[in-house]
Amino acid sequence: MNKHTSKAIGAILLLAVLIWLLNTKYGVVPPLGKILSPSEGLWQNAERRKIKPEGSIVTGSVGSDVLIKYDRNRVPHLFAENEHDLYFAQGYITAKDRLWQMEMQARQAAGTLSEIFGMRLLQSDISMRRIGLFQAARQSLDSAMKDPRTAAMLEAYSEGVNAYVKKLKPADYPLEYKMIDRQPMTWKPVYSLAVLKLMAEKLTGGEAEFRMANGLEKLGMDTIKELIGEDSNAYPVIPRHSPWKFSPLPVGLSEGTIAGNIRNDDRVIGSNNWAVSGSKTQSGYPVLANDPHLELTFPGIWYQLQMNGPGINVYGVSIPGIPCIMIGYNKDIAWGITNTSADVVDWYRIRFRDRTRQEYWYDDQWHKVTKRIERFYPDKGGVITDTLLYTHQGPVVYDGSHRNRVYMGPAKEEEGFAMKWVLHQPSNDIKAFYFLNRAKNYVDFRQALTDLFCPAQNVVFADADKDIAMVCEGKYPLKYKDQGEFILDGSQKRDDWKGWIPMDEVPFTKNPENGFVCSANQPLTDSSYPYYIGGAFASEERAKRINIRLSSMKNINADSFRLLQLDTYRELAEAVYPVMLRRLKQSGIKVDKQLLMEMEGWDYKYTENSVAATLFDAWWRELYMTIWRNSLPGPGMTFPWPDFERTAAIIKTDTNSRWMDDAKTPQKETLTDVIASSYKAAMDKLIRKNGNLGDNWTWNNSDVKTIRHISGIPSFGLPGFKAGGAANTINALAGGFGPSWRMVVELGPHVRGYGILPGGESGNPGSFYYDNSFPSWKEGKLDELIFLSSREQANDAIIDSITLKK
Amino acid sequence: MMLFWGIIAYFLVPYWWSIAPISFFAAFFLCKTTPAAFWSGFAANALLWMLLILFKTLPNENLLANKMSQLLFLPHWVLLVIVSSLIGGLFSGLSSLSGFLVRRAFNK
Repeated sequence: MNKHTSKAIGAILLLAVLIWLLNTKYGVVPPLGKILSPSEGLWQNAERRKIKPEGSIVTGSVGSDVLIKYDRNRVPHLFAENEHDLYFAQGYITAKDRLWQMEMQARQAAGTLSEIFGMRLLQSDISMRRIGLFQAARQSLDSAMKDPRTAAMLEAYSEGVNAYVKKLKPADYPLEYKMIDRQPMTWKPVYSLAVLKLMAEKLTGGEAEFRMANGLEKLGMDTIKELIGEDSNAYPVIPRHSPWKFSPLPVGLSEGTIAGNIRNDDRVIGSNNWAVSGSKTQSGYPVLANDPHLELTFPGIWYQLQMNGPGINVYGVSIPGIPCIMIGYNKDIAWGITNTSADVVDWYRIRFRDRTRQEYWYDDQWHKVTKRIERFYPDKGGVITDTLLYTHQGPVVYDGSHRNRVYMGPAKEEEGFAMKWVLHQPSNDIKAFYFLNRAKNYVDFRQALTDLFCPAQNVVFADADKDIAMVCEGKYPLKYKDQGEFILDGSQKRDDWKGWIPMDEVPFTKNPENGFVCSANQPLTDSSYPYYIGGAFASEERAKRINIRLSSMKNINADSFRLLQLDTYRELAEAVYPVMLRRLKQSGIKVDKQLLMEMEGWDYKYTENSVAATLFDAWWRELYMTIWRNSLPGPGMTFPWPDFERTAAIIKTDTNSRWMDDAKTPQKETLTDVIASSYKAAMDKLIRKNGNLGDNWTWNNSDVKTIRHISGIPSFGLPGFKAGGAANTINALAGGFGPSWRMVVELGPHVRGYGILPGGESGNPGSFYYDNSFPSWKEGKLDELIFLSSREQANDAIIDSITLKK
Repeated sequence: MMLFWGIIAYFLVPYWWSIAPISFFAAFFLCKTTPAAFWSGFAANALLWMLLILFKTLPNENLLANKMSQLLFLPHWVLLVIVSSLIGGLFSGLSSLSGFLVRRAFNK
């Protein structure tokens, strides 16, 4: 071989290696040649401000043409001539905007994230399979497929998603796929149900029992009882003294052990909804409002759309991956949801016969354990298996190989913890939404809801017939009082669930005398309700504020409710702050005059520029931590610390409480001592962080809000923005959580809807519709929603359209 | 000339490297010296990529280019366009260099 030939071969080899290198992904670094190229790369995802009209798209799968009109917020309005085409179009159009999000949700639920992200997500996949979520989705698919309507709907939606995916060239893939060099997966009906179950998991999954078990073992039942105290229960979802017109089913064991529930403080996942009857409104017709508080993400959890077809014309928000509209309105009715926070998960301590875990002890004999092998195929990780054990209660989530991280009791090889969860019940929850979208009145509404099993929701309702209602709908286990507050005994028949609360006996109220209904994740009923429904309810703070405001409001219109959704009044502060300030002055420690003036002049609102809110928040947290850290063992998360409400009650009424004493010091601390020392500690921290009192001390500097990209890509989210609001105020915007959709609907002969998303419709970071609503949302504005009565109706807000052709 | 073929390639075969064979044969037939082969291939595709990228990113008001630059710790979106173009130039230049060297090997 001569010199020239070897040079030529060398150059070609070098070229091949270079192209190969630029075409390969290294860890988190995408294939650089591919992603930076104009033909396939990120540049293809850079959308014009004014999107080019696409005209018509041939899909080959619709019975007749589907018209999709886009309004100025790029909300699609679907007009189809049959049900198949309608749900096909919903799947198609949702995938067009949110494909990556859909796949991420489906994979999280199915426990297959590691297939694309590798070993680092294997543990989270295993945990997801161990709680049996995807298995439950498979079983619910069987139920859904038995009903011709839901079967056809799920299949059409799936077809729609796949019709879109099939049309994609690599250049068209959502950017996130390009960044990890993957192609979109094929959608299946079971994923829709899995995504719904994943939502249910976020809202109902809970392990408070393990914290309670720690408390029981270390502190004893008497102390637990004392710590939890009794619920005030002044503002339940269903007004106090509501009549219950049924004779309840017997539950057997009826003695209760504890009088209250441990609240979930600082809970940032929660929501508000309310409705008022015509007597309180300007128009004489009901007005309804809903703002679900969830993690704030780009793209957001909700996708807005209108769906019009034979027998249906509905507007609202859907969850990408799931057919139907979840929160919304049609010309006759409007509805909204909040989480009931009811406890629909219980844990059973299982005793296995030996370490092989083939049998478990129940009802005085050994029973066979059922086994199921779960397989995982992590990227570059071969095949990994996990054997799941099932008792008659449910999956044994925690055992010798997977310990619960919260539970501090002794670990025994022959012991496990089985999970009993309403989510595991075969259900056809999606059917509830199918009929809700078509409901015309209260009767339709109640009938539709009977299929909603899990997550149990407080569903608020209002209609053009001037009815308002609130139903705490869901499948609730029939339990003896306080059953499931602690870990149950898996060997005892008496600890099994006794059946279900009948669907027509769930808590509800229709047209109550006070003229309004509202819910904010507080306890559902007063003690007159004949069944026991426990739960990790939110504190009553938001509920109290909403009740007080709605009682006094008159002449309500949509704008009054917009303002109420932005209310940042903190009930806890009203209750406890005067006591704190009085005792602070009594303590005799030196208090900066300027600070004192700020504190005494506070209106209890967490507004953006409030300095007083910063002071109270820091001081209250310090006080709360000081009291319980000094008197209870362990870090807060693993012990059932009393909630804020209970702590405030102790401070106000039990002034000589033994809990004020720091067990680690020889002298006895009093309430005044703790209040003074926590004040000093809190102010020291604030000064260290913010410098001397000044502009840095405003609330919007103390609690910086964020919106995360769903896969955590930094520059695709909003790392920090300034706004008012706080956990436990109506405008529960705190940290990375907040109102994920705000909606107000004025019912009447011509329904009018108002709403706003924190981001936008598109999931593409290169689109102007990715976060176009953010500025308005942050300022607390609502857009008037474009609800078209028919496909022919002209509207100036419609700026583009697409037709899905046969 | 090469720009013309590049644009054709862009629309016909949308792989990011589809310019490579074109650079190769262009240099095989046209180029006279080694540096000329490399630099003409380099310049042609770097320019082509830059134009195509600007064609996409300007109507986007560089919204995405800004986000991606931040992600890659580049202080300005223009740098992302330059880096992209350099990568496009590099493999195209190497490809035309190969084309020239192969012809020389045949011709002795």
